[in-house]
Amino acid sequence: MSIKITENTTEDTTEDDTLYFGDVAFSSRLLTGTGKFASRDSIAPMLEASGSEMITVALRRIDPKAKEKDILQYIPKSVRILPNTSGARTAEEAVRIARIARAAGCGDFIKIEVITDMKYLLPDNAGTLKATEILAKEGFIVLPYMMPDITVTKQLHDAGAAAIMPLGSPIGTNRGLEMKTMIKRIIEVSKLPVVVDAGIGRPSQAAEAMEMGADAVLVNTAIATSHDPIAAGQAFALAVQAGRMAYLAQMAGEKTYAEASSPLTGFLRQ
Amino acid sequence: MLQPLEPDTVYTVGGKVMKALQKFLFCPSFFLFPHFYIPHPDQWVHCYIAMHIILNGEQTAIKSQTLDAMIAEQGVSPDTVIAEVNLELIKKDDWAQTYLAEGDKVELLSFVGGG
Repeated sequence: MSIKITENTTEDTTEDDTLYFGDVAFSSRLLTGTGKFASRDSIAPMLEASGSEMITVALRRIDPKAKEKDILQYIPKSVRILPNTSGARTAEEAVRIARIARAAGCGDFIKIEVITDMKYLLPDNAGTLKATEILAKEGFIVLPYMMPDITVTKQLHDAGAAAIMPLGSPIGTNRGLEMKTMIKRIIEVSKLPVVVDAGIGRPSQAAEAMEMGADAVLVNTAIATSHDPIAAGQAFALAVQAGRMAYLAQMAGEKTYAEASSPLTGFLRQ
Repeated sequence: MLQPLEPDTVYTVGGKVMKALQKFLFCPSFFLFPHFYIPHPDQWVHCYIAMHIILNGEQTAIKSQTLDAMIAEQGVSPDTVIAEVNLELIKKDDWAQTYLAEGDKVELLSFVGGG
């Protein structure tokens, strides 16, 4: 099974449908993550099958007993690294992780996660905003993971964020767009790319987010924990592209009553 | 009374053991049983360079003096390690010149899978 997807589809619909974070251009609107893979060897083929151009990693203390290879060795050089600040409970901790990640050669991108709620892993918007302000001033391309909120969306614009990343549903739950209405409102007001991050469990949910006008989605758990992450990666890529095309095609709205698709004249019964 | 020095024990320079030794240096039994107070030369290296650092949040006794030797001592592959000493990131090229001191907070980090 190999369907070539990444090159043709978007060019047919619009001249230029490039996604920008800061001044960095992306042609793929699917962001992926490196967590929870049963075999890390499937990360590279998954990236190739999905066409994803950016993938998240986390920073942790080394365990000398666990002789595991560093995750970066499993990621092709052509794919951009998006370090996250997972584990940070305060803005200060997030800033520290971001600085280490950049100094370690991961580039200017950073996904801010400031989380104190360990049950639902819902982000602390105040801490996220504070970390965004500090890191944007230091030249980072900041992608803040946030609880969908209009006011915070505007504040993140002012703080210098490069995108808005509202959650669909709690991390790793595969529950889809529980925050649908709020995400719609964020898409309405945001001048920055909106990336729906977390909770997307199926390609249909990714397509729905893209149809709504999200600029990209970030999918990790659903791909990594599927039986075949390579096929799942491709399925998500197709869904994201279909959703994007549908959004650009400006689909007609819903109606209450039936409206015949065939002419209502010239029936044979008369 | 002082215990004889154990072969596999790490003794710190400024620690209690060495201070106690100095106190007993001039007592009569020191001259009668010097081996009881003075460690065997094989152990001297332990006595004079060992120290404690806070490695990844845990107090750890190390024999190494420099960062790169300490990383090797911990059995960590240096290729993918990110090292931070007292909240300052140390570039790999500078590891050999980075001398550790008693009580230094050292973090050894690496990138792992995450979403």
